[in-house]
Amino acid sequence: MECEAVRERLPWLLNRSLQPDERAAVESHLAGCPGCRAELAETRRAAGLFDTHLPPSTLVDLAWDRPLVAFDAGTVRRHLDGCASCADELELLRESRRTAESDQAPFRLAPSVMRPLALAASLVLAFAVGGRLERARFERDSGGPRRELGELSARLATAAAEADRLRAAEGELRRRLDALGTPMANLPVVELLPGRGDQRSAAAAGGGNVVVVPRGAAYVALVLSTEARRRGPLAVELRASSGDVLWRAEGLLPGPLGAYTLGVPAERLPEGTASLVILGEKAGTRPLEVFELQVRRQP
Amino acid sequence: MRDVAVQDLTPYHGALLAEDAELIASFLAGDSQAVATVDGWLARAAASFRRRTGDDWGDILQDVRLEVIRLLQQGRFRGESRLKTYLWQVTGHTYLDALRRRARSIEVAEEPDREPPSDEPSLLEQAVVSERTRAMLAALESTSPECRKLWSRILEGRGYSEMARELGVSEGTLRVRVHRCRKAALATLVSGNGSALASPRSLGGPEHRGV
Repeated sequence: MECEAVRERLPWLLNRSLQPDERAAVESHLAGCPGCRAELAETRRAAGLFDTHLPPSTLVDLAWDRPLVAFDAGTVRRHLDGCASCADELELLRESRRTAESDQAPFRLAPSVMRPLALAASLVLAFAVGGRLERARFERDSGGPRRELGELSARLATAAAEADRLRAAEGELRRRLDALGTPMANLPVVELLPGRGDQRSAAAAGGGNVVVVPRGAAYVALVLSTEARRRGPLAVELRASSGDVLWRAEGLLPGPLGAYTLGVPAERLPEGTASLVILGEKAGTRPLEVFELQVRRQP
Repeated sequence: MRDVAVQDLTPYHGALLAEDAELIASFLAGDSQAVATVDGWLARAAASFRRRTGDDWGDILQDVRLEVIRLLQQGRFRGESRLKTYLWQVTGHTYLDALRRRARSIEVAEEPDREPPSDEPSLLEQAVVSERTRAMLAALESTSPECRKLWSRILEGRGYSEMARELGVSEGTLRVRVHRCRKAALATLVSGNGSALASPRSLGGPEHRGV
């Protein structure tokens, strides 16, 4: 394509309306023609000029009768006279403003419309006023009690759900209490020895205390043998291999032979590796003794 | 920069009404009633633009909400009007920005060696841009109505075949006329205020919002 033909098509190259083959031809020419590329830049500048409009802020000022700051009234008026899109946008803004004002203004009718309307309305009103007043009074007087009734119904529904939940919890607690009161036969007793040196390695290598939980056992008695003597009640925590504390018991005192004993519900002993850590009862005290466990459940 | 909203340079006279100040505080704190009040205003202010924006109306309304939050958080509303009026104006401004972005079929590239303008232009930057826009409007006025009409159609994205059919001229004739208009426009730009009009940066780029 020749330069003249390319330059004539540049405005439509910019607005992306050229057919694909034409666009390809123009772009191919531009790639090798600095002169036409300069023309393209000039065409873009010309497009920018023809696309100059009043800023939205100026149109907003006009629509809301605010003083014009950036432009004189003459410039604005002349541009609006010649620019349909700015005039259209100004009308949109004015329509929006009318919406704002109709929100606020009380509704008013022209007097010529008012009189016949008033007569007709008064006739209708004469028949309807008795019933309407009564209804209005009912609506007004019953509004409060109706709202209260709604609130009470909602609260009743919530209370009923809470009662169901508490009944279920009570049943579970009774079952557990009954289980506690029953003498336990064949209670598994496991003696635990404290870890030596690297406690984790001992457990990982299988050298930790193995606790086998028999099938159906409700409790396991753990006897924690330690040569260390401590004064005062202690606390014990069962910690998962991640370090998370699974549970804590307090008030631990040594038995006659110096060992500490724990009766642990079988369900509170997770299968796998864990640690029983004896600490002082005060929060934040360092571990006094650690017992590594390997818990296994009989299938 | 094509459309830059100029900050109101008139001195501040008023003070926020207590009712408006309270509503702003509650709105920014997320009070549900205040949010509902403000949101209701924004939606009603935006109603006039629904037909023109079509499916984008909701997205643009979301832009309005974000802009309102930004302006109120920055304390940009200083009580020159009631809050409701201010929010109506912000809504209109935002929708106009969106309509113009949608309508623009020609993107004018920024000069590569120019820094992009900041989001919050200084008063000097605003004054310079206002001066450019004034000069551009004056240059545009000096072009012929026929040229403005032809280019208006090009800016709407019309093809030259379609335009030639509408105008009842051959495609070749149309292209030549448009080319002459382009030359005349460039001559106007050059003969105007050189420093104000020479930069292509004045012909496009990010818009700033400030009411």
